[in-house]
Amino acid sequence: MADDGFVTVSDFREGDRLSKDHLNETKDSWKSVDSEVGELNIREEGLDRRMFDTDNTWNDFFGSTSRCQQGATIDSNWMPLSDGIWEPIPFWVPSPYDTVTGGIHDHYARIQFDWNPQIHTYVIFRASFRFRWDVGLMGGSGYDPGDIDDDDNFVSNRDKVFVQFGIQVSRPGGSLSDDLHIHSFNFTNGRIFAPTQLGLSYNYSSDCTGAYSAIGHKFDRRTAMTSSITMVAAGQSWQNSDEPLTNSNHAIDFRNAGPVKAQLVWRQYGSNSDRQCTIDGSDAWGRVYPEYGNMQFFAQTFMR
Amino acid sequence: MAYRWDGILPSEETVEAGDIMEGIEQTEFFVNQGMGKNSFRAPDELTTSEKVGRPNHEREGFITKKHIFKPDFYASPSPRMEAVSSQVHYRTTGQSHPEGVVFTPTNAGTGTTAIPGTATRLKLRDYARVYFTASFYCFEFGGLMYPKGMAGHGGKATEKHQYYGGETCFAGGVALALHGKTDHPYEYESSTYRKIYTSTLAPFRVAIDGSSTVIAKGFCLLNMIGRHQHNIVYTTSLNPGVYDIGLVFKSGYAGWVNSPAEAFTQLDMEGGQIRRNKAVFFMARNMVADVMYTGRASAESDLAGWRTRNPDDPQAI
Repeated sequence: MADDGFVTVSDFREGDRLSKDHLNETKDSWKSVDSEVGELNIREEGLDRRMFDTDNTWNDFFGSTSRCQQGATIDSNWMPLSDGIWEPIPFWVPSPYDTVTGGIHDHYARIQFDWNPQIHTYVIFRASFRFRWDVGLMGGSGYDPGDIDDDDNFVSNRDKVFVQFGIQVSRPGGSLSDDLHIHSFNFTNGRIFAPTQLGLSYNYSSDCTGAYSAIGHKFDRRTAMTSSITMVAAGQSWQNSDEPLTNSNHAIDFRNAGPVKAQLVWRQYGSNSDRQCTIDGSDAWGRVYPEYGNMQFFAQTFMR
Repeated sequence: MAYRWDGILPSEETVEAGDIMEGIEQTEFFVNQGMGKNSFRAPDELTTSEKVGRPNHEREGFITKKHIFKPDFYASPSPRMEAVSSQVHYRTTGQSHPEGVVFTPTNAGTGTTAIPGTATRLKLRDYARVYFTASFYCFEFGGLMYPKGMAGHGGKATEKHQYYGGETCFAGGVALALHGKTDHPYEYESSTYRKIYTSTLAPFRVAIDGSSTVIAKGFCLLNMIGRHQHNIVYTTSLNPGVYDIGLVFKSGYAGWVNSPAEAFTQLDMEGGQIRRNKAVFFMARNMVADVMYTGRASAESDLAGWRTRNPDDPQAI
């Protein structure tokens, strides 16, 4: 009889009488193998590409809602950006009308997929877009007109300004309205991962050091700031002694099943009124609205 | 799909040659083409201790890495791994200057040019999903832009210009390009576009002690804030075929800064012209193209037509 997928053929010997039982035992052995083919029956390195011939094996499981993109440049002077409050990043342009492609929302980088720990082991979120913010003239900075005879009369009233970005990921079956805080050691319930920041110190265009009339002669270093904003976060469905601990290492805990939503969020430091200010004696704006766009945001899964 | 021989029935008194041949034929059928998904045993259930930390896992699959055909690894000039269900292309280039590449409008023009070390060719026998990741360190050097603050008294900037300053003057654009034989005809994928800005600012002239002079003795200020590490990620589905994928750069138009009116350089430079944008360096480049097959392509319906799809090249490949 078969044992763990192996066939045992009756022992035929020359001169012995051949009976039906001999043949039927062999048949039974083959038949019992039919539902017992396992790892011992598969030759090492025996499964090549031809064996995996169905979409069930190679399927792009998460589908089009798990990824989104946007190819336009957004001049956000029409868009509110609240002070210190996390909110989804709008990635659409009213004129000429351009929206987010893919995902589950036309205006925001927001994706969704069904997570099943029986099938999925790891997921990686990747997001990247470009961002430019010209805060170079924000706040007064330069010479003190009331103290022009002093070689060291540079005054800096620049404000500290920065923007933070993150990937917000819901719990499986949870909502994007839950725990809109950065996930950290001190706040493990936070659902914003991979936070990154872009900003300028208010001391950046302050006085230079060095000898008078050399490079240190009060050169002004006002500038805009630009960057690729790129964030990567990962989740996993299992945990044992060989794997990172989801409770303490801040890998996203995906041990439970359910639909998962994720979106790109941001917040700024500074008040709304700071986003635009006039400079005395100048027609220039002190701080202009962000220009950003050219976005890709998607989840990649690794099945068991 | 199954083993289908019923054996020799008890009602038969003698074993005939046909009985044996039927058994041999059914065995042959089973071995050659009769094993289906129901022929495999169920995976083992996890024990209670094995479920610790993975509460939603019920069974452990019995196909392991040793059963899968080992991937093939290829080295330079096209390092990649080709495996059963995926192929992964990778490039890495150090950050030293000899390993860097430089583009200027003079030597590269203002057309779209591939960035060495960030591109590869994908040959797909089946349908696939591509996940592309690249990072690089990039900066412009040599072009000149006016500062945001200029002129004024005592060397202090009092004239402030919104559209001047660091990270303001466009030097060129980087993006991911993906070109198939006839698919993906776009110059680049707009969702991956990145702008590169110039980084050097001109000194400005002010009145000091009753005479006009140039700040910082006329030296330009290289503030280096324009030096960035950039990242580009991208995903798309591809049909079977051959594709070129990688980063491309397109220099900005070679504009010029005219000196006299704003007088930003040494006095003896008045009347001259200085390039507004110049050399763009790409250093420390890394690229990974992770290709995961998503479906089997038919040699006839999916591939035969593709081989002769290019009307400019009737020769089948």
